[in-house]
Amino acid sequence: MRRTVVLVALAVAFVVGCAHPVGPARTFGAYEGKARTTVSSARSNVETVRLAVDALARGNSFGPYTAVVVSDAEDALGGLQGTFGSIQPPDRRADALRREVDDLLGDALDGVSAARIAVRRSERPDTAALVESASALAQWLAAHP
Amino acid sequence: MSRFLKIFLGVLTAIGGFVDIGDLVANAETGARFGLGLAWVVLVGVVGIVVYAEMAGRVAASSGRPVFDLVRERLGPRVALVNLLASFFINFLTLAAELAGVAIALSLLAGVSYVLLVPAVAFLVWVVVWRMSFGAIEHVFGIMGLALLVFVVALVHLSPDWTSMLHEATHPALPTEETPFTYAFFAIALFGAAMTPYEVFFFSSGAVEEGWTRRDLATNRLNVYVGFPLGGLLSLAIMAVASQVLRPAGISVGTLPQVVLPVAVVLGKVGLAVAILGVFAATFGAAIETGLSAGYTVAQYLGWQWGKFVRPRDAPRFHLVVLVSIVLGALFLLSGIDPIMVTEYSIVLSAAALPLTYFPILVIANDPEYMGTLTNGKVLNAIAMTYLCILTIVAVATVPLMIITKGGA
Repeated sequence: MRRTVVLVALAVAFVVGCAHPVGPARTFGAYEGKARTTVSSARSNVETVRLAVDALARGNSFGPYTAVVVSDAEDALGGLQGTFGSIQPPDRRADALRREVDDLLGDALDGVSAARIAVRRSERPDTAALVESASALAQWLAAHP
Repeated sequence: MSRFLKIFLGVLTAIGGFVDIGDLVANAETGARFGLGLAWVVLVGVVGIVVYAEMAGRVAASSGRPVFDLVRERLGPRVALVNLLASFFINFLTLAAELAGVAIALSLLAGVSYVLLVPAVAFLVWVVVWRMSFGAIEHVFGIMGLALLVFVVALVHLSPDWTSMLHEATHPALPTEETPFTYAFFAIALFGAAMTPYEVFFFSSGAVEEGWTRRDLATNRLNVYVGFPLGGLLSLAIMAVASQVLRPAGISVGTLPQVVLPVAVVLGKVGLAVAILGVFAATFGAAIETGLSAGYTVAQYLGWQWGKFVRPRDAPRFHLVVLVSIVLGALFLLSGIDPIMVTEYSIVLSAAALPLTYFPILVIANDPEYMGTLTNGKVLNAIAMTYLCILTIVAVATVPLMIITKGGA
């Protein structure tokens, strides 16, 4: 019985440890690290959409493929925003960082959502907004090494 | 069919069939994150699968029995049961991931959520397993999988600095944004993807189904020695293209459509369509192989009648296990679980369970009772033992690395 409990506890610890990449942050440094991971993932998604939309605009891709790529990125960004927003900021400095990252994620999500709407309507998406968002995310990452 | 054509077809099948969803994701992801800094792992993995697949084929050809059947007889039911449970679980995850891969490939053409296509894909896979002949399955999907050569074409079309790429591959360095733990974790993922256990179960069971004898050993060796390394080159091309196109943009691969994005960027619509066809064929072929492997492992352990060549009414339990595995795999995906996470877990856990698969093969391949005069030579045993040490280190390190890196995040 005791052995079973230990095995179950280990299994739960394993699943929890592996499945949720964003745990609690008790210090500003830890919070900043999570912000960095989030912004890096956001940049990856925005750049993916930028490349996909650019390929579509050049006639190098087709609509259904681009729509799936953009929707996947939009879902991922929504998830990132929700997950980062759920982390308790440990102090006042972290509050400011939280607002900063939330704004960046919001802009990224807006740009990607607009791209998704345009692609689904077979219209030309606004790549300038995506470039701007990707650039802002890259600059933030450079400023928080 | 002439002997030459048969060998040629076998080699093509081995190339096209080498890559599955695990290879696609692992190679693209490592290329995007580490450039060619982990290319050496692909080479190590290819040599490993070549050594052990040849051994498994030789065991099947000389004994007329598949690996799992012999594992139980040689190592006893308890050890074999541990082996069965681990292999079946990992095989199940891989099957679910492959079904997702097929559904995602189709969704890229249909423009609908892949989840909607999962039931139809599962049904299609089952129909093909049920109705299509063994040789046709191998050749059709293996050769269609050659469409993935479009990644090689894309790489050549990119005209990269080959010298710099070679330097990056031969002088692996840790990117500043990565840690030694993530580097080791992705090395294990690549290794697990190259040496996935189901490949050996399917390979040896298929050899028995096709009635291989000692006369087929030359064909076996050619398929393995030529086909698998060329398949490995395909993996490297996927990694290299991702490192050239996705890495400079700071893109990390989290979805299957991202894997083919570089091909669209470089080769346009036709290239993209060919790449999607390749993904479809690679994952469909692997879904069939993993579905059959589920039936093979369980039926061979329990001593049931098994085989695709055996009529369903003569091997009902084998066919039932295959069917139930496919249905459960589809239901697992319909729960909304992230298919890429399933893929990553399947290849990493494969790595953790590798010794369970490969150690018994090595034991049997050295037993003259089963092998007659075809036991391993000294050089082969030295290589195989070295690999067994690597496999054991990998198995021990996998779970701690998975926890430390939070699944490579």
